[in-house]
Amino acid sequence: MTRKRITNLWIALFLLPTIIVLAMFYVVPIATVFITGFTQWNGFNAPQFVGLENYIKLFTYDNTFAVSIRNLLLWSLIAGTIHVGFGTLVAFILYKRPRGWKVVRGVFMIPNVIAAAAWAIIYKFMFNDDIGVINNLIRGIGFENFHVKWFYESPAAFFAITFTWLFFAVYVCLIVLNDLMAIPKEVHEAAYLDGATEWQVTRFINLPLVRNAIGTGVILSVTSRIAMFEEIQLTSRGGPGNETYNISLMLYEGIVNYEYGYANAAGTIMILLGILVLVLINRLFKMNERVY
Amino acid sequence: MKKWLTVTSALAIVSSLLLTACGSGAATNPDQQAGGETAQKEVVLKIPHYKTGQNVGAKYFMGLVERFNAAYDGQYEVVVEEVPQDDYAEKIKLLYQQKKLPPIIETGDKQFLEDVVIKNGAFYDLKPWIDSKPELKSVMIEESIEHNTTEDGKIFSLPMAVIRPIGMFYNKDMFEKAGITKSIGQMSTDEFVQALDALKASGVAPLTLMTGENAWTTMLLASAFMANEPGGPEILNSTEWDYDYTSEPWVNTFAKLQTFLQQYTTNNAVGAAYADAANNFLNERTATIANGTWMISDFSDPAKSSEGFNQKVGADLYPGGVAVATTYDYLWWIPSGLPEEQTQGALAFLEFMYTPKELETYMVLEGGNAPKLQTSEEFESQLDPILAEFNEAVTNDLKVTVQSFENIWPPQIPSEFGKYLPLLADGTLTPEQFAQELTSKAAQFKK
Repeated sequence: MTRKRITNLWIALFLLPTIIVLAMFYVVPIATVFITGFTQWNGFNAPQFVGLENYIKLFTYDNTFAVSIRNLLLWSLIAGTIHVGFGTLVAFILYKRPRGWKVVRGVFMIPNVIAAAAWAIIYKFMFNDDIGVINNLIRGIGFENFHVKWFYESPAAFFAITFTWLFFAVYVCLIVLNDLMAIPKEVHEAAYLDGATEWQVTRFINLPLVRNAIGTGVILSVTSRIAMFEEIQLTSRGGPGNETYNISLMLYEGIVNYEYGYANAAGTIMILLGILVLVLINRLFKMNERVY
Repeated sequence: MKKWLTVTSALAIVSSLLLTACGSGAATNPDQQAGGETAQKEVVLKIPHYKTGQNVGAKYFMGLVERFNAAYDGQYEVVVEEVPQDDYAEKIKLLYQQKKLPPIIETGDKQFLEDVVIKNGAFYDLKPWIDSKPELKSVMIEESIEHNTTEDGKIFSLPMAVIRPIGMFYNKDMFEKAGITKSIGQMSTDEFVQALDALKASGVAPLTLMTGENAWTTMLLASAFMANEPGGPEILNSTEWDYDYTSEPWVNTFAKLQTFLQQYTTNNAVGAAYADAANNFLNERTATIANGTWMISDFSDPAKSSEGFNQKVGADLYPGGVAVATTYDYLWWIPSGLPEEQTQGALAFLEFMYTPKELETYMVLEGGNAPKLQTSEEFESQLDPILAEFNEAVTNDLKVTVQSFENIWPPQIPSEFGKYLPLLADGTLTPEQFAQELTSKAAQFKK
């Protein structure tokens, strides 16, 4: 056996445990989700093949799936623009290292340290019509007849749920800030020497150079909207009616009703949507092209 | 040589790491799987339950456990694991999947019980045990024995001995201030609405409604009003699931419900959970609440209501002489496949629960009546005055008993009912549209 073949054998051997773990915890479960999406399975008896019945039920039983896709598109748009935009803005501000920037960075991190479920409960109180700080503040500044049941009226519920995550953009901020700090100083010095203004440096140098970080931020943010669950289930539960449903709630319903086939069909759609987002954002931000 | 030694060591480390990661599911002691440990003498029955802590049922249930443990000291001990009420049914399903069911279970998800437990015969047949205990069988209600008997003659769960009609509580002071003198149970529905207007005019919110969770108090009141609709009692007393809510009795009831939500309840009814609703009545923000007699203990609980509040509370039937109750329910059951000592312990617990003294204790604390039990002389004197008032109303004014919506809806629908109620309340949905939405939802679960 040649030396190269022996080396390759050792490499394969050392990679084997990782591949086994990856297969056990990723490939096999995903394959199970996909395959059982075509079955009727209550978790107690063996799955029974039913073809596309679960997908037909998902798409057509009522308008819940259409509402879920609508909400997902809107939340993705808000996430990709306002949420990521806010995080990027904060990153650019922190990059200038104003007075107290480390404190601001630390404080900005706090909401993301708190569990989403805890935040959902906090927001439920904050948006309460009687005792919540939001409505009392609005009534305090002169709108005495302001009464909105945020999580129980349409379209207020959609906006209330959006607010539970909209400004918590610390991950985007940190990724973008990290890339900003990695830009060589010489690039900026050269630009200033050529007479570039601060805005021109930001617009024509910094922004293009953090393109990949922003793209990553958009991917993280949009895929989080696909998987978003606690913020909805613990506040509006998808209501009023089905106004704030998303696909993860449909998946959850399948689980609690012991319709695992239906739940896995919803899960398959979530996986496919996630892959679609990844491909689209990669292309949009040209993330496979060299930055320098 | 050195190279081989290095490689062999590396492989050994990796293999042991993998084996450790994969070997965490070691079999447990089968006694522990069944929910108990076998000490030398005492059999421990570990059961999850929600009637603990601040739950309304805790006073009776935890007292029952304490008394059983005292009576069977050294032989059996029931240990309760606290579980939130909303999670109890799911916990039981999970334990079933894990083959770790506790020795005694109170109901659970009705559809799961019928479609899985009864269908797969995963329960202990209580018939031979009941037949061997004539004094036990003598207190059981016949219709309940029939309902709990499977097609092949086995008895799945403990038949009921006590029926607990549900009515409503009212604040006597508020009623007096509003000039209402007639008993609620003797009123027609129109008279009741007039009473609501009088209460509203006197400055109080007449009804305690809620849309959160399963919209319990709202559902009870709506069930009672449907009982006053032509054809309503027949629909409500069905023994089959109902999947269609577009008929006239339903739509008329939803129309009344819309009016109640819009005009006769508190601002925070939309979105309110049971705790919020109970708080409204206990803190005298509302004049009435539809709820069962198990709530009576809250009226004298200093942690929940002001001193002397229980003196202000009266209990009555719903308008039209309606009470909400069912004998078509499952209660306690024992899973099959348990170790013999666990099964015997579970049977001892059920038998203890149905002794005349315990049944009386249950009725004193939670209300209801045991039609086949000869109560003791002290029983009546032990009754809370509010409970005694309600029992009197049941005796004198009861005209019709109906089940509540949740007894005839698929288990998923009460939650959907609560989610769609805000849209009914704010007028986004008409009663007809509301009925149609619920019917569409129910169609998904039709077998």
